Amino acid sequence: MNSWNRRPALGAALAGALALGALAGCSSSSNGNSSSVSGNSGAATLVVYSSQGYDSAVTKAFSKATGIPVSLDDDSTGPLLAKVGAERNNPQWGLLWVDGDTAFAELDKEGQLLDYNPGVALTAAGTKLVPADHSYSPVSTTAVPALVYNAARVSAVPTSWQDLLGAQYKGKVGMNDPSQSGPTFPLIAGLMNELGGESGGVAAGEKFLTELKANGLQVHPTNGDTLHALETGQIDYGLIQSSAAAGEVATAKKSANYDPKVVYLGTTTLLPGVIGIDKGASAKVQQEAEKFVQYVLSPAGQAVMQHGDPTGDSLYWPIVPGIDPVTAIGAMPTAYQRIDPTYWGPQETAVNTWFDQNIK
Amino acid sequence: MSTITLPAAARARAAAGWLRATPFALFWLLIAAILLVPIALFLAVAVSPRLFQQGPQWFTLSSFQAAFQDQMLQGIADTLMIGAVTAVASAVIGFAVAWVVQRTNVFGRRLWSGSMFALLLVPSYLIALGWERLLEPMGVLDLLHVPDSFARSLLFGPVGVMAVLTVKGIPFAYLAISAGLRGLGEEFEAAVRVHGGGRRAVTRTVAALLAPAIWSSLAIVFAESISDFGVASTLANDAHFPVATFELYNAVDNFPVQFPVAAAVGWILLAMAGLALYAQHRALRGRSYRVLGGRTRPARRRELSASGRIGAFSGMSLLLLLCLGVPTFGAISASLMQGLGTLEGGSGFSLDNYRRALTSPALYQPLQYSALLATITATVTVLLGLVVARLLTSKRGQTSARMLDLLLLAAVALPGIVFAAGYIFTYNLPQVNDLGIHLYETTTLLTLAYIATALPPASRVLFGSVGQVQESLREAARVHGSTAPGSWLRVMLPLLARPLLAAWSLTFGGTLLELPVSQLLYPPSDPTVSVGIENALSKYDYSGGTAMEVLAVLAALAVIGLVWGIFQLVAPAGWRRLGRTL
Amino acid sequence: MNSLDDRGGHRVSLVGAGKRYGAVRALAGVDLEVAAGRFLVLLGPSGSGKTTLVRALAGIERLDEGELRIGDRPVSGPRTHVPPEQRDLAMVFQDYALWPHLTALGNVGYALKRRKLASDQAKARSIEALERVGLVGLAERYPHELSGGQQQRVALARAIVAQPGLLLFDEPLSNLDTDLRERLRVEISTLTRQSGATAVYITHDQSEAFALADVIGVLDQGRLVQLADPETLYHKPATPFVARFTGLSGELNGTVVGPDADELFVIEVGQWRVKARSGHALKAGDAVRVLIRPSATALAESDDESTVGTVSGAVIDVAYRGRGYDHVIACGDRHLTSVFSVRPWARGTQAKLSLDPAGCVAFPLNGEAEISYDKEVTTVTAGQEPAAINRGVTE
Repeated sequence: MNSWNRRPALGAALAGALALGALAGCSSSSNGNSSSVSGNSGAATLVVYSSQGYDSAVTKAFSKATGIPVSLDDDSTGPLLAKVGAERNNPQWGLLWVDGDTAFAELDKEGQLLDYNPGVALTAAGTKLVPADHSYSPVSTTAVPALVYNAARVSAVPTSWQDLLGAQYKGKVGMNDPSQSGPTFPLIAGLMNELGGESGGVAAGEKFLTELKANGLQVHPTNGDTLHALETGQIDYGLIQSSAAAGEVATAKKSANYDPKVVYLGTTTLLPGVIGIDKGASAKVQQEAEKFVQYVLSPAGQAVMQHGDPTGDSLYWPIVPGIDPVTAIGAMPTAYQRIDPTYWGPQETAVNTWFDQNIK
Repeated sequence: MSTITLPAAARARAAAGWLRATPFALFWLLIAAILLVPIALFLAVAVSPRLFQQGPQWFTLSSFQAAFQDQMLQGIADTLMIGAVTAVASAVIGFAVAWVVQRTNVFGRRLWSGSMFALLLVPSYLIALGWERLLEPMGVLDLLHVPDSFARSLLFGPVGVMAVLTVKGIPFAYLAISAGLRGLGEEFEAAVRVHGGGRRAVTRTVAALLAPAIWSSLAIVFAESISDFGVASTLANDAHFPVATFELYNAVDNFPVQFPVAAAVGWILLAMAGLALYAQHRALRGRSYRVLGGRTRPARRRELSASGRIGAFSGMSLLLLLCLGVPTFGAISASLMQGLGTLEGGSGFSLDNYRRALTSPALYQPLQYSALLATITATVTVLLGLVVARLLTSKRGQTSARMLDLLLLAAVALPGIVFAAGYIFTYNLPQVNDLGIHLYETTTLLTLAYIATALPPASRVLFGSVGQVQESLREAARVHGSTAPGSWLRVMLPLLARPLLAAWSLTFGGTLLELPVSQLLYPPSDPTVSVGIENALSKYDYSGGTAMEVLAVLAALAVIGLVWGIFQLVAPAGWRRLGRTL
Repeated sequence: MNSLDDRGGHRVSLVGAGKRYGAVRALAGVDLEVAAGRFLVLLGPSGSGKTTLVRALAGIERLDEGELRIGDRPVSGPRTHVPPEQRDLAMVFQDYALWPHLTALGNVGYALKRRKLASDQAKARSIEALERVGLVGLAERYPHELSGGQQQRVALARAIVAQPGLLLFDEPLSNLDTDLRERLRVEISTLTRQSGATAVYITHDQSEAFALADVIGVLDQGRLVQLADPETLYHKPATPFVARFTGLSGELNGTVVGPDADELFVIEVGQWRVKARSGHALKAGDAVRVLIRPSATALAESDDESTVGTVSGAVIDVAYRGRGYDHVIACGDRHLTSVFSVRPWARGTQAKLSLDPAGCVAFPLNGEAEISYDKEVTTVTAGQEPAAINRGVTE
């Protein structure tokens, strides 16, 4: 190599090193920021991984109330869980908070969760959602599916899944793609559970979905896309998550052509918001995490949750007694079920692939 | 006279040799830390899941079995086709635009070259969204009673995917090729014309001389296209057009995350990238492209006839309308006009979303943070990219240069989410922490990852230009009294000022809006702006999310415009004359 | 005395220089010494190592073996390598190597930075240098606005402006038109001698070499074959290679008859007898090759019957040169070219050629392979790419 090819490399490497040194200083100071939220010396920072829309509000309120510093990693569920998966050999999170409990069932199977019973009395729905070994704590719930329909264009309102196979619904029904929309696999699993149960497996549900497809089912990637299809009249009935449906009803401009309303079909599947604590975290961090769960399940925490994301995740049904849901979400469906994540979780890949090849 | 070959002298020579190699050792160490090790460790998981507790076996090939589901072979074929078509289409269009802007006297040249930068920054999701809004059933064109069913069937399928990816690829091709075109004097074209060549012969010759720039853009656009999943999943979702990345995203989006399967797909993508590089190597084999020196005379602009000017102008306008106009429309319809095309009734313009976005905490602080990181990344990347481009264009060390090239392309071919996973594997290792390296979940690591993903495109934009500069210019600087770094600053920097700025701008914009790596690696409590935008979008707040995205794009454009403006004002006249066409 | 004059040159001393590029030996044990202020020309075909040598002198290439001293300072050796900017030299390149982003004045001024003069002084010196090469009116032009000859003159001004002790020239005239070459050669010669610097100049053109040099070194495949002043080189070439490279009319093989007066030998060539010198001790019966300089040939006007020193043959070609005619004579199975005569001889006529022994050199025929004039050396050494491309040689 010519002698002068080396100097620029040295220069570049030095520049890189200087920049990194500056960044190291920058990052340590920013880390210092989050830990100096409170003056509580000796408090370890609680690292929270969460995909909830109100998590930032809740963590700030929690820190203020307890003085415990919290570092929040807020991502959508997919990347967040990918991160958790990649950290498997050395988890960095103290507390994980996402919608849906299949991930937690899996984490428990791997022995990553700390069993903790917050000791808070829950509603009937809430109690149903708690696992036997208390390896994770449900703190809220939404439901799938919520059928949102355009009342201005159609008058027929289904009450059960079977209704959707009727002629008046031909080509007018839409749902999300489970490989792209997180809440949709529980929707399908719930349908399969209702039709076949754990003994019957996926067969009955697959048969039903095939028939639905024959009746003109449209598949859109996510909640937002299905809602957009509803808004443009491509479909008149959309099977989405309850919070999305309620959000649409609350925010959409109603007109002569567009009047969204929500109804629940048959047995609705509960989709809990769940908190899990890392078993491998230090005792101090675990204590702090437990305090966090307590806070979330307290009226103060629930209030923050209900105001932290008014058009999104705040549209949930509380499972702590004595707390009313926000008005926009309406009443919880009375016919609900909880599907067993240990049975249905492992089916997800196969079901999604089947759906992709046969229904889309 | 005897030559001095005592053993002591030989040892001293060897020692001096090691000392001379130190700067390069540092460079390779950096490359290893940010590229080689994360990629290698991620790919290793395919055969050894137990390495990071991603599976029970220490050695297995079952993940390859799992990856090769029935659709996979079809997926590979589809992906190769998308990659190749997109790369070629981008190169052709990029070349045409570069030619029109630099070699003809078409009207509005600054507008066209500026719009290329804008195109660079536009997120592919906005492009897809714009077309969707136009062409979907009951979409805007339907409402205007424009017959669009044919276009719709094209859009929602492989053609649409390739069209959108091509639009994203055009700016890369344009930057790389126009940098090369600037350095190409007129003597080559004159030589062709003098020997009886017509316009086509001239174009062919120029294309041949620009082969390094063209091939480098081909390779990078190919790699970017094969790693895409977002566009394919949006537009080709229902078209039964599987792509290779489907298996990968399927594996990563479920829990438990199946990294071994994702890594197996990663190997497949790596093989495809290697294929592209092999093709490039065969095409460029051994020839010299050093055409930029003191004797280079700037090429003359071709005077177009009146009809030619009109034709060129309308062609460029149509191109920009399609490429930039559609995503702009998409952005407008999503964020400015509530309910455009919906049953809610198309109401007027409303700046609500922008008001919300501007006052949202999810915007300002993250935007500042992202802008700082993007600036640092762009600066370091451009310097490293220069070194890489020199390594790739020098005649020595061919094997190591080619390995570096493959590594860089692999970083692009692997989707960002798994590239970031590789970082987590590497820097979250307990052993690494024991060594005292606590980089995981720090800003430093995020920046390193940014640099790693930005280095391939940046070095490829520079590759064509760096390869053009004649060595004698630097040698002349050395023998006339400049030290080595001095000669770089005083001679190479002015010659490469524009390409360097272009690479800087490209990196700045790309890093500011970078998503997948940011999602996985950002330090908790310090989100980047893209994370905030994505959160809004994923919570079906399309309007708010799009408004934030538009603001971020405008911010990036503003910074880039500022930097170019400073260059125009501050750079010496001679620097700005370089590559100027008369 | 002008500020650009005679600062004194450096003495250059090279011992055992060796350089390899992979398997190719570019330089093999070259020993060279140039006294201060002298003008050395390195002459040789492409691939002979002259470019490598000059680049090693400049410090752009590193020698693998050998020691180099400039002035009395060791600048290159097993433990040392002084970088180019500290060697107090300057170089004129074949492709001019002017920096496109600087004007002519800027290019010249760049070379003065190392002298750390006050800016107005530096500017004055730069303008003076441009005046010396006659280009002061074009000082604000950029390189692409100058012709090739003008660019090379700017390069020359750049080389002399800082008054370095050593000036290096890498085939500076090869890219110029023929008419320009001679003019620029004179400028180079004058300015270099005025500045008093030592000069090392490489070229493959023997007439250029002879015109410029105080000393010529002939290189063949990395070896220095002969180092002597031009007259010695011309009249007493050390090897057939040197003779061929310095201008031959042709070669004739023959056998030694015996020695003659004045250190000459009589040699039987075909059906004729010629006289030639030789640096070797030849005996009767030795097979030799007689190399004939063009200046030794003369077309015999009269039908002189003296047979020794005359050959005859048919005229193959006649070329008009302005001042006369050059002929190609077929002599036996050989051709003798550049046979000059004021009046033309028609093609096909038989002609008698007298050969002046002063211009004929005999070498023993040692089974040495005959080199045809058309053979091209195909290895391209580093730094020669531009030249090689210009000549159409590819790797």
